[in-house]
Amino acid sequence: MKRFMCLVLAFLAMAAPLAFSSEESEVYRQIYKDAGSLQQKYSAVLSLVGLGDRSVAPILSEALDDLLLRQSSYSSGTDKEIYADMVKVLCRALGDYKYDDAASSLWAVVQQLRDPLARAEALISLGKIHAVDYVERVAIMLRDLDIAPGPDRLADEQVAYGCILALEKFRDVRGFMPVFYATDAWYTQRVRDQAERSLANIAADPTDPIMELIRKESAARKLLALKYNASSKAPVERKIEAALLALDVAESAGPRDKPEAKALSEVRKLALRSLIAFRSTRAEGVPLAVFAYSNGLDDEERLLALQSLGVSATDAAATALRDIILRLDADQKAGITDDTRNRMAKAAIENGALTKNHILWAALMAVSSNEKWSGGILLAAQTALKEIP
Amino acid sequence: MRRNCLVPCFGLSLAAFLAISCAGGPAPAAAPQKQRKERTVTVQVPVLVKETSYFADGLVDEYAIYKYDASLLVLLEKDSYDGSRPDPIERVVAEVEGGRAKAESTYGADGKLRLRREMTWDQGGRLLSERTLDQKGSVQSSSAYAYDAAGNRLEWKAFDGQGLLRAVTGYEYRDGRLVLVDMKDGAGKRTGSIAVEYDAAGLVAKRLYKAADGKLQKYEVPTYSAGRLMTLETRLADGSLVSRVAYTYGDLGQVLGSVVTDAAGAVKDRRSFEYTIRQDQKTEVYWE
Repeated sequence: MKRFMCLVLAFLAMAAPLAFSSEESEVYRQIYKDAGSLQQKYSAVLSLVGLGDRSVAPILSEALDDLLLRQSSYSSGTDKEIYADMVKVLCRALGDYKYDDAASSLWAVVQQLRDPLARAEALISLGKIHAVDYVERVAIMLRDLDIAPGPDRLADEQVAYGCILALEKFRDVRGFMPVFYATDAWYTQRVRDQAERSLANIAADPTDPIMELIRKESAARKLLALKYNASSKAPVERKIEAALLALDVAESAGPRDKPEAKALSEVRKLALRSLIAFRSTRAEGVPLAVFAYSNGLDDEERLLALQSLGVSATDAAATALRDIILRLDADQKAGITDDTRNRMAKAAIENGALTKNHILWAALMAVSSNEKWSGGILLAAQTALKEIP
Repeated sequence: MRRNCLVPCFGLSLAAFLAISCAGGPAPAAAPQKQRKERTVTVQVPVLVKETSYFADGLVDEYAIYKYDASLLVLLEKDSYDGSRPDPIERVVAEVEGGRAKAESTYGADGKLRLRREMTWDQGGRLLSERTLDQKGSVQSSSAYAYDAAGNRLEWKAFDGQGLLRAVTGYEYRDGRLVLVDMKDGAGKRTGSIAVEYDAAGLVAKRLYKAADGKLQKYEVPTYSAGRLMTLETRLADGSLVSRVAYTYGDLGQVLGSVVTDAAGAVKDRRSFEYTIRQDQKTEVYWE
């Protein structure tokens, strides 16, 4: 039993440092308080931070406030360098300890200091401590940076990087727009890539800003916004809402030239793919799909429109497919025929089968009794009829 | 999360190891007719491989990956990652000699050296000295430690970058237990002390932090279950709660999680720990 007890004590002695504050924190806290020069303070701060003891956060916050107050006292080159390094170390540690009482000091660093890396560290730490009172301010800062670089391009980029990470960590939908614009702003690839990665984490449901982008932005950005919609963590119903809006907007927009027409077609295709993937049954999707089928830029868009109707499988979708099949059948009987029509007819029939809706019965019967159709289409119609109750 | 030190990891691993040894080892009988015998047993040692810190809402903030040598005995590197950044935001790399770290270098997200810590050890594995250097290689602080014949730390001297003595800390023991940490500045003036009280089972019952004049500043009160530290509360002298840490453990005695809450009960820090298992052969003493 004695041996057992001895080992228990040994275990506790090892476990204790996980929790109890160490005397080292107390000693370095005192050394910091007694330090006269900036160099001495910096040494003490490095030691305090190195301990990884959360209980030292208040003194680190005090140290940061002290530095902000005495900023003008440190004018020599060496002091300025130590000052910036010390601010960075303090900001990083306060973020790591998620010490939210330091939020206003961190924001003061962002506003008052010129060193871009210190400002970036302060921004990241604001995010880490979840200081959501600052979301709007950081979002505006990044929005302004997104537009164009100032005279010091590198410094602006470093601050922008801090803004992006802060907005990601805030996890507030207000941060979505500026980070979205950062994905194709003037920054280097590294920053744009980070914006793209961060964008996915900003909001559980970014549908509102995505829809705003779809309404207001260029076709290229509409497409980008729609891509984020497809991969967002929003509920499917919300994603469908955005996809329907994109389809609507891209159909009603009048393209100025061929490249824009192509870009809008890409938006419609992605919107249709989204509706298919999310198995949308929304009634608004039917006229939009019919429009895409009738006015699609290419066969791919028209085929996607037919597929979205088939997947929808509502009475309205089945009625739309029935009308399409009947029109194609009438054209065929009238001798109007080509490969594209045959391809569309086959797709409409196959998607009609997917609906398993009796509304399609008469149209499928009409096709199967029209001997002018090719064998493949007749077979498709007969197969589809078997699916119809 | 981004501790500039690899030592806590050893702490976790060793703590777990000792706990297992306790659980697996039979108590020796004192009866004189029984003989002391030894046998080899295999023990499972949890080795920390991942530490994750979370935001209060449960989403991951950062995580750290611990890398070891092939034997899983020597920690070589700790890489910290941010949720969305593919490259480490910090790397702490150890330089190992004779199974012990003689230096640890901390690198930032840009890959540049941020800090370096150099250590020397005695043959018994006790830390003799350490010094911290900044990114330019300038010494920022150093420490020297002294021990008694039993290996108890007796003194810690802390120096600044210029080598000036800034603090002297003395340690007092009673019945082999640390009971007082006495802190003085470089001129020998007392700056504070920590008194440690124990319960009947020999576990730390309270740690009292006192100012230079002996006035109580704060104290820490642990609670235990089956010999394991379960919670630790920090209170001010008037008894008001400052913070509380709660731990959860795995079957092998390894810490699986920790949650720090403030006085209002709001979560300030939440962590989880993941392990791999090392199989160790140990000689066990028993009496028959």
